Amino acid sequence: MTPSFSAAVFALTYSIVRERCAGAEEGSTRLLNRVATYILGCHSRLPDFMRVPLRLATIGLDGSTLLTTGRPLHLLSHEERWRRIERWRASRFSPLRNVLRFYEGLAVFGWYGEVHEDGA
Amino acid sequence: MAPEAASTSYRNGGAETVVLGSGPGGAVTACLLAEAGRDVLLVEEGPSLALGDTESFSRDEMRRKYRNGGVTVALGNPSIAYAEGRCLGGGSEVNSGLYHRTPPEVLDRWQTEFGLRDATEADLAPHFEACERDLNVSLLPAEAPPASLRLHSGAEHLGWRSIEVPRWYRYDAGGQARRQSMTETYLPRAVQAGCRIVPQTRARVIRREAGQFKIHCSQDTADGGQRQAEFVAKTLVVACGAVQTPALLRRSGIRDNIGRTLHFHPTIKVVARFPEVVNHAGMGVPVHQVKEFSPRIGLGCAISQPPHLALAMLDHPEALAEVLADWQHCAVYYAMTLGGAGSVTPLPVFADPLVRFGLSAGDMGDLATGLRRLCECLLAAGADLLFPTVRGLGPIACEADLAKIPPALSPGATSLMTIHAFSSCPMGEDAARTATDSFGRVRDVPGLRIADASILCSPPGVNPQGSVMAFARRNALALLEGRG
Ligand SMILES: Cc1cc2nc3c(=O)[nH]c(=O)nc-3n(C[C@H](O)[C@H](O)[C@H](O)COP(=O)(O)OP(=O)(O)OC[C@H]3O[C@@H](n4cnc5c(N)ncnc54)[C@H](O)[C@@H]3O)c2cc1C
Repeated sequence: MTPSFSAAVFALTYSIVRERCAGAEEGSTRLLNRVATYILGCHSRLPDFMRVPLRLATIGLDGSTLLTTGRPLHLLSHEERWRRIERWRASRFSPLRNVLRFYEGLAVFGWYGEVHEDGA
Repeated sequence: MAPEAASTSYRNGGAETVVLGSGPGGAVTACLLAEAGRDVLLVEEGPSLALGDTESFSRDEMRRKYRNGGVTVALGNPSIAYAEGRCLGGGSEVNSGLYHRTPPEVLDRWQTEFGLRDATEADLAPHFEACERDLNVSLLPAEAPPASLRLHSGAEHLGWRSIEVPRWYRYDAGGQARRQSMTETYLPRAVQAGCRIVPQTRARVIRREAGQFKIHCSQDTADGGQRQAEFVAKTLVVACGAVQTPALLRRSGIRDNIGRTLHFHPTIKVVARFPEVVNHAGMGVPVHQVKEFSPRIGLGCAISQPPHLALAMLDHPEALAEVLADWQHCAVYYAMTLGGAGSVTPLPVFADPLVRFGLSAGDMGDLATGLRRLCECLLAAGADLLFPTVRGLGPIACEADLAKIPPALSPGATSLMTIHAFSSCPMGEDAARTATDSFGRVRDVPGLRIADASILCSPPGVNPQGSVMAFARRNALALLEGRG
């Protein structure tokens, strides 16, 4: 029930890829997990001064749904989660948009990389 | 094969000349000095990997050969994503191999604005010729990739100048291409001539004591840890690239005109869809560039494999799946400009420097003009849908839609990137605006030189590696001859 960085990254990856990318229906769990792991790897290689703020922002997003739903983002249903992601993407607060863009960029790059580079 | 790395750690070791960074600037310098009989040690932060150890433009390559796995950003409004190599051979190991000499009008400007001497077209010609020979700079032996030919045909249709850009590749009898990166060319030559290479070793700070340099480094160990190492040198050549060189020098207390004039070629992209097939798995590097608006605006075609297409579609998420389903009909194109300026600031505690970059309203206007020209060219080439990397703009399907492109792009809605960084420590005789003299000697620090993209005075308006190498060669020979 507590916010978690890696659970949030997995949840964001699942939602973004399912919503945006073709072929990511049920049954693609193995590939989706690989994309999420890839994103965690990218996070660990970020410039050092960006790593902690992004981690905190991600945990913050995960925890931000606790008040209204009693559950962190990663435990919401895909539909509920996606509604929130859409709202954050359109936010007027640019740092929030940037966080979402970071995950969106890596998720689509990672997904099509998995599908095409590795011929999976 | 990657040249063999030195097996000892050289703890407390050193050399007459230490070169930091093994990209095109450092590799050319180390090679020429070693071949002239100098005692040279080359220190490289990244790992020693051979060209074939990673697949070109793959995620694996980004993870292993790029700094920060390829995710680096210059903060500003808009922020600009940029990429740097971080491996033996630096950027030359991951780049597209597109070769240009520095345009003569750019050299003229460097002479008048920065007091750069002995660097006319004629002065540099022998250096360009030597690099072209060493790297087998040549045109494609076969037809260019279809996406590249599309751009060319659009330009021809409009009566615009478009060229096939030569590249540093060798081709075997079967037409297989091999990029002539530094690990294929200058680095093995340097090792052959006695240069010792120490990879996975990052220079953290340099100090000048008793007429020599002490270079304090962190060295990766086999168990994933780090240990300290120190090298001593009489002459120190810094070639860590346009971002890391000023970061290191400023961290070491050397600051005059260092790191305050970083330049990029800010680049905007467009995904174009064509009725016919223009892309295929493993499509090589597109080689055509439209030069009609050079140097202010350059147009070209980028790597267009599905992951790259997906990334370029980020501002059009509703069309992403459709474009990717049809990816053989789609390719990524770019408009590259010259504007803006930035800075590199080392941060206390952190290893990575803060990179900032600003673009004026005029620069955003240039990007809008570049985008419009690119879209015009792609429509003339037969594209039926265009998706610029601008949120809320497009798709563009016909000439009339070009009116949707505003006179200046909105910073908040525009996604920019670059793979060309330079000019953070410009060279020349004008001491008020340059960090080094015309031959890369850092002012007021005897024995310290810079030999990478940092010393290019301003954006060259063309792919920069040819310029980096020619100046590195010229300056290394001047060092050997006791001139510069
Ligand atoms: C994806 C990509 C595509 C490109 N395509 C082209 C192209 O087609 N044509 C072209 O002309 N140019 C291209 N470029 C640009 C070109 O690669 C660079 O201009 C060129 O590599 C710059 O050379 P350099 O010697 O200045 O620095 P770099 O190549 O960046 O080399 C610097 C080296 O120093 C090392 N280093 C950094 N800090 C330290 C430290 N503290 N201690 C020790 N070592 C350190 C780095 O790991 C790196 O290996 C491209 C670049 C990229 C990233």
